[in-house]
Amino acid sequence: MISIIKDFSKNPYGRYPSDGEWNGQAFRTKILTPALRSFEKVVVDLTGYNRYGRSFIDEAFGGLIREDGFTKSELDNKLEYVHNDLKSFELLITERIEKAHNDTRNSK
Amino acid sequence: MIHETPSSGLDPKYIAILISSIIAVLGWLFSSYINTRTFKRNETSKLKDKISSLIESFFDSLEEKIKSRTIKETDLDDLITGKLAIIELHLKHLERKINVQLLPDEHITKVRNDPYDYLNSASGDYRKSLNDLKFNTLELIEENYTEWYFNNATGHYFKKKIKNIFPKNQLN
Repeated sequence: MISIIKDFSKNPYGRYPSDGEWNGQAFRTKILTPALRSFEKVVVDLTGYNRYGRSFIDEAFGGLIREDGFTKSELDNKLEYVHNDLKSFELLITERIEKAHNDTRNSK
Repeated sequence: MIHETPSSGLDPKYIAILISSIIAVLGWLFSSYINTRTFKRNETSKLKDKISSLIESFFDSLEEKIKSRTIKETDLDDLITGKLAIIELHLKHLERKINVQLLPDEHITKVRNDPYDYLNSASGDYRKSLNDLKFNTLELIEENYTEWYFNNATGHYFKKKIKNIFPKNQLN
């Protein structure tokens, strides 16, 4: 279980390092991708922060397919994400993963 | 000397007191029920109006921001995440307290996600798309509120209770 607030930052923000230190790319490359490569199941807990931008979410989760070579079915089996207060973030992650999957499939 | 004859049942005077007490208690219960209901409705209506005006102001700021056309993705992040988080928390508050869902999570996700796509659309298109999203959101709130309001009307409530006690096939 990865808690973004406890294991990464209390203020995750932006897509790339140019947006700030605690960006989506940093979360993906330093925490999420290594965890997905090492464990069978990874749960990401987003609870505790209510201002995740789409750029952070898209880079952190959609980037798994676009940049790190995971497939959607792999993520469906291995990755879970929860936000106990605002469910729209869970749906936003699902949407961004779906979008990355479609974009990658169309570009092939 | 007059002796009172012992009565076999309750004195009518006590029966009258008992009946009037029961009627008074029932009256209090009924008026308390009506008061709670009215309070709940007023509070829901106030919060619904507040959410609608927050949404209007959210979309107005969004249009103002996107109008500049040189806006960065993170600028949009700043606007959307801050304002939408407050709106969503108000919606959750209503959902938990009064069990009414004015906007489904899927629609909030749409509001959170779609405006970024308008950044790349032609200048006239973004305004139309933004207006569509704004009025769809406001309409959805009104529709869900109206449905909740009439489903919780006293007449409808008792009808539902009676229906539960005597399902249709039992009445026929």
